[in-house]
Amino acid sequence: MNNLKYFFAFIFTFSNIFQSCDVIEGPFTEEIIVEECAEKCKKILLEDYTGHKCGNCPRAAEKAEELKEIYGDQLIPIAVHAGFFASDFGGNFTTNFTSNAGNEWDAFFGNSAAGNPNGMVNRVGYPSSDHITQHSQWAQKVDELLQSDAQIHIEIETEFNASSNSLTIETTTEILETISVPLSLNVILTESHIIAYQTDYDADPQEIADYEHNHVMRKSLTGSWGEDLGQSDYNNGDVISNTFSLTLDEDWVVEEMSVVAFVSNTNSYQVIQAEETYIME
Amino acid sequence: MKKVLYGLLLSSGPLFSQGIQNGHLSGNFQSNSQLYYEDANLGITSENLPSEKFLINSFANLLYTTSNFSAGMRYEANHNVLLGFDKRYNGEGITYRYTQFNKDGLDITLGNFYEQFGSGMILRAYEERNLGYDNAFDGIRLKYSPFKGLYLKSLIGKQRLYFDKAEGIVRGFDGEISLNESFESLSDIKTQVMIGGSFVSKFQKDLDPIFILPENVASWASRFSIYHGKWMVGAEYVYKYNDPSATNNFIYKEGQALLANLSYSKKGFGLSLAAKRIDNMSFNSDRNLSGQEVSINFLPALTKQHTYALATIYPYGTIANGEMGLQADLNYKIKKGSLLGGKYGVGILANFSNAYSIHKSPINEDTAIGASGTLGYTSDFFKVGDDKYFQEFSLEISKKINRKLKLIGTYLNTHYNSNFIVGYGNYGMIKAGIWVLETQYKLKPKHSIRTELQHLKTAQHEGNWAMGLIEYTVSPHYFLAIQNLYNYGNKINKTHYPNISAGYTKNTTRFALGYGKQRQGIFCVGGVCREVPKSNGFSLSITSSF
Repeated sequence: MNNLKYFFAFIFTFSNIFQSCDVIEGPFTEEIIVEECAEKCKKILLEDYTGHKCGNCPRAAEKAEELKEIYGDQLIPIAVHAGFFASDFGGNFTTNFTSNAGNEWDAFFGNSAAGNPNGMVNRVGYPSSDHITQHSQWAQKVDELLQSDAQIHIEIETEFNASSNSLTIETTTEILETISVPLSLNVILTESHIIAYQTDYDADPQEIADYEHNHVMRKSLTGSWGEDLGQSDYNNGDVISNTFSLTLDEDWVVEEMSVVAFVSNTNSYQVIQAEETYIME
Repeated sequence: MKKVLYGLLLSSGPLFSQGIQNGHLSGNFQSNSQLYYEDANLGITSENLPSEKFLINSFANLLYTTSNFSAGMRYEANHNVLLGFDKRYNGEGITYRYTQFNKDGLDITLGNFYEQFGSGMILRAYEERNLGYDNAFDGIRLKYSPFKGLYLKSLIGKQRLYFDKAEGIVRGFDGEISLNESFESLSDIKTQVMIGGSFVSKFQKDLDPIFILPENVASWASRFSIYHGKWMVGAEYVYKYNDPSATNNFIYKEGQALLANLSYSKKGFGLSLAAKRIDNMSFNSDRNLSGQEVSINFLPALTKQHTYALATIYPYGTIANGEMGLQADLNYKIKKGSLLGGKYGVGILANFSNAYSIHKSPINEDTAIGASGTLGYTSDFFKVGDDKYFQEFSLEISKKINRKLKLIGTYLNTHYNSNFIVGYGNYGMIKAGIWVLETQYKLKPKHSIRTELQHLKTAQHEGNWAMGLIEYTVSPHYFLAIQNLYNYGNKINKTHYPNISAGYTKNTTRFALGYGKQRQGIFCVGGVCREVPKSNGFSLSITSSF
């Protein structure tokens, strides 16, 4: 009798498991409807940790572009070249896309150590390992973060002097709701449409000579961890201005460059708001 | 630690207050540590040296068993993990604990467990410490045999992901019936037949705003094996429903795997043939992880596992997105006293294996093969693709010359397509020929000396290698080994990788101390691989059990 009882218990378990199957007939994707945002919109920073020798990284770059197309100005992707796959390999792979701040971020957050490609969406999840996200998770993370309103609004003004190849950047950080943590302002430069070699395991041949590298982080103007915005509490309506200036590297094409600014929680590193402007807009 | 174990035992006390006395406590301990040094010749500078300089992987298992009850745990402490292991293993904690009891023939496991259904192509949780691989389940497993010959298993749980657990919940059921055991009328016949079937389903929430993802991904498998005298034939087929994931670039195609075996063996002769076809069969507890760390299933490489140093340079790693291959394995012993066999006979082992891509066609004119958010591609089940991934032929001849001397000669011919197999990058098809001569010589009782001479010849990748080893053993307590690998064919950097190691064993405790250089490469077991970085330093390994 016992035997029979157990046998039926097993069959019951089995029949339950058997129903656990979802077959999607298609369509396989759905259109994301992004709520229109007229002003002072929340903007998300997407950091794609990559390297020119990383053969799976073009999939992540494609995902970043796909999401940029969907979310428009509300998503700001940057490509941080760091770690083993971003090294100088000689031959076709000598371009240096790395930056000091990018290398420090990578060492600190552990991205390349966890295996490229991966990234961070507003650095949410740090210090648990949840901050490192695969490109297949980016859409989900961006979507979640855009459900809330902006707490900060950033404006960027640039002034480029062609004769001296120098750039002045003025940022205005406006607090939209009370924030009781120290804040850091980070300002970086990115460059797009750089044609150089990239390994792509799905391409034939796998070394692509004319690969277009976009949103490449070139330099941070605020060190690796930003500049303190100077207060311990921030109230709605507070406005803080900062000015930065530098001479651009001669190899950089200013027409293809952007200034990206983001404000982060100094304690948790989590990005609260981001902004991007073309230098030559 | 014992307190924790006893705590674990007490927690199940009310149910089993009787019957867990007079049990047996056993355990084992292992630690592998290394002190790392800079090495200008290997390009290891203070910048890429681990900041800790000293790294250690260690663990201990404790197991308590009685006739119908067992409980155990493993404590791991990695401060920090050795180079080449995933840094997410840094830390310490109890990573495995379970209780198992048997009541009225029902076997119940609570906590962690390893499991395999059939060949493992639908479900296999296992640990391979050298790979840093552990995808143990944490959940509940039931095993039951309602009548003789019928074996049922069901399980539910989450899989280990370093010091955490993967997101997906895995549910599985497996049944296997031995017809000869179950039916008395068949018990005496020479042909033994076993039939089995499995069903596995994984649940993971769909939070993706773009893809419409199946939250429950199911797969089923059926298998059989027939033994008739010296013959065995068996096969397993696995079907997986749509499972878009980071590994398959989010395509919605079904997955399939087939593994078939035929073997014949008698004294002094054995032949086995195997064939496999794998199509889109990566099955992960977390669809977003493209690595193998939380694989629900195991896809066998179907290639020979080598141990000689140079023979392990180009190992095959299974390509889960699609491959088909064959393996033939022969062992033959030329009889003692025959013309070729001489006084002691001659042992011959031959193996041939290969792996090719599967044929893939676009689903329509407008969609690229493997495009995300589509059915991916279509594939003719029996059509081989254009790319050869791997091929290997090996021949090993062993001959005992006299009571003191034994010689083993090995030849390998390997074709390794580095463009597809994980590991080295794009060096195209690497073709290598490897020769090994091993001698084993007994100097006097308990004293023996073993040498290896190896050579690898290739025009690709890092070029030719030579290797020599001499090992002196005083059994059962001591050994001393000196070896050197020399990459003399390397056009950029001709490097020596010398190593010296010594060991001492007392009863069940073993110490091994080594100093030397480690080449950069890839290490695989059964088609699952990890990268091994170059290093220079002292290593110490301690194992003990009671």
